[in-house]
Amino acid sequence: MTEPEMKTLIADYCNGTLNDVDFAPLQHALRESPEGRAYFRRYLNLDAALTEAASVEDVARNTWTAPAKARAFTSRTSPLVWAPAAAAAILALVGFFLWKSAHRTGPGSVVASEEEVATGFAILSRLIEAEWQDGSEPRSAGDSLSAGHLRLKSGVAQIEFFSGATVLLEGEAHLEIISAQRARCHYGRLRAKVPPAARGFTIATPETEVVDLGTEIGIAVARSGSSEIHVIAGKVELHIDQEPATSLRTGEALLLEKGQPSNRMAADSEAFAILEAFEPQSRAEHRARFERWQNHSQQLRQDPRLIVYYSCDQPQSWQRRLINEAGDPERRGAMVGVNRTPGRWPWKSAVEFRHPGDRVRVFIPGEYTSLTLACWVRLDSVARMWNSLYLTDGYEKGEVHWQITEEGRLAYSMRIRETGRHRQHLYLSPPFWKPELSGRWIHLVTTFDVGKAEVTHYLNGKEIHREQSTPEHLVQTTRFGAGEIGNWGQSLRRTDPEFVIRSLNGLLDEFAIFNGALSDSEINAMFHAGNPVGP
Amino acid sequence: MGASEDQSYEDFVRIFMRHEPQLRAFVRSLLPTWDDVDEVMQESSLVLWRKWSDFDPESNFMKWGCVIARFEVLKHRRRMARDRHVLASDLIELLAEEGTEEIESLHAQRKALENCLRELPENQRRIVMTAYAPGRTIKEVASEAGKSATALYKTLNRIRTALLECVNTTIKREGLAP
Repeated sequence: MTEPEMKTLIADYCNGTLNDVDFAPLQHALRESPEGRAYFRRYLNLDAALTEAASVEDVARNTWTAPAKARAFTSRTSPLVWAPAAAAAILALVGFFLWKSAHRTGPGSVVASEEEVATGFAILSRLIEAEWQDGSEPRSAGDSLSAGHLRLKSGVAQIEFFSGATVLLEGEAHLEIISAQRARCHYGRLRAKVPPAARGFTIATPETEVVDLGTEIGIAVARSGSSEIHVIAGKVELHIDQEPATSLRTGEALLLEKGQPSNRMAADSEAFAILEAFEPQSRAEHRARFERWQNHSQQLRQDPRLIVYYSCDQPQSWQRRLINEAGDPERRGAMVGVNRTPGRWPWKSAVEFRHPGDRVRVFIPGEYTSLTLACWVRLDSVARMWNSLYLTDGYEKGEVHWQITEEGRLAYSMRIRETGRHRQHLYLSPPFWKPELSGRWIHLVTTFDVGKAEVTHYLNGKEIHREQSTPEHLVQTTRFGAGEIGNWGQSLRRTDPEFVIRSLNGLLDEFAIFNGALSDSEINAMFHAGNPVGP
Repeated sequence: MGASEDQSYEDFVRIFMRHEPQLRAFVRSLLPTWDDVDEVMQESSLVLWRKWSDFDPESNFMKWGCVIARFEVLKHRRRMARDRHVLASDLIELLAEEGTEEIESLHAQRKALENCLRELPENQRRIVMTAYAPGRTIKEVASEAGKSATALYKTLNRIRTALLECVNTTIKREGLAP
């Protein structure tokens, strides 16, 4: 790049009118040339000095109509204006910065109820026909469990403690998780398996503490508080009040009433559930869920608002395209690099994104107004600065970018204008991603409603962020053209590698774009119909 | 707030305001838009105030400020949309490092600029001041002047180039380091 060329690009950069294609070469030239960088700094320093000079002049001109103190709070006003102001005003100014910072909640605040899930002592690994008691928090398979109460009405729940112990709880039951090594059974029936690593795992009942020394045991606690301890294999210690510990060995059982051992007997293994017995039932339930989703998917295909719809409802095949179930076969997805793999259910496929080059190319003609983008994904991580869900190749006015940020925020952005400052606006959700979500199917939806002038993000059927568009950020006409699911076609045009790797890391199963903003209840229904686990 | 804390507050505000324009210019050289600059300046001023008790009054406030501002720029950069023309972090580091070194000469350039602005032909001066006035967009200013935005940008580029040349000559004439 010649010196005059570079100077032109620097001027364009300063104006905010630099062409996208020129940005990488400019960065390259600046890296190479110390003189270039010095000029760059002088030029932007000049830009800063002129901004300051103009604002001073502006304030001088408007002294009679606008008090200097008030104007000092507007951005880009020179601090020279503040200098003559009274100390009180100066303190107010610093206070303003503090206030501004405290109130800049924006997308940064995390919903408190989600915090709980970030830590935990156990995972709810399986649920079989499980129903929760009225008024208790409904749980889904895969939830991580911190200290708290599980109140099962019926069915079976398998809980894997981080210590390695596994508890199979049969409804009706009330189990309280205290730590990774400790739980309390208020009533109900459970079977616990404790591998050597979890030796010392303790289950308290109303009358005793059962310390498991590496075994398999069954515990049944009646509502009255009396309990039975059955040692199916290994050895346990029972602590009752201040009495010396009582030991029980394989095949032994003990009945406790009113806090006292009342009867020794033979252990009855069959009185306690084993997971294997529930397996066929579980499979049938899984299949039923799949069929429920299939019905929903068939109905969805009739929705006239669909722009594209890839259900991925084909068994694994070598076919390198995703059928557009919304109709127009020209809008099929072309698979590049990606592979098919079993999806939410083994009877359908998903698309697997693994490598930086993996992508599904899609061409969507036409112009639209309001939009809804929806997908099911199972991500390993969101390690990249930007993780693409769907990106248009270019970024012309009205074009849409849908991504997840490094911090795990859902990001929707549109190009607002072709030139000048603020050419796009970004709608960011609070961070929703947690490592616990890794490897789990999640449903992501973003709606852009032109009429209401707002963008809404949803996770698993629930709203996580709603943001108004200011009139200057509102785009009336949205477009797609050439674009990609799970990657960015811009890489075909650029050379700077730092910019181009936006590929998704994980699986995508079902992707739809609607012409129009779906309602909260429609989105919630879509989530429940497609959820492979939970109620 | 106690009396000594009051004093500390006032000291901070006084020194911060004296250096704010230079610090702002430094941040401007690392970020693509003025909105970004405003945000980072607010963050930086907060951090500076929070760490004010650590600051050694004998040392250079600008150098200290640049270190903190640079950190805030990089933090801000991570939050930003990459679709905008945000410089790569290694380039930001490089520009910031060199920029911190030449803080003194940038100051000299600003002094020289004051003279150069006065020497600018009145019509050119008016164009610059209108285009840079707070709250104005280039498009508005251009349409008021019956010009296209592109034409106005070109004019601005020419005036800025002329101003830079004037600044260089002034500094050379006065024997200041470039």
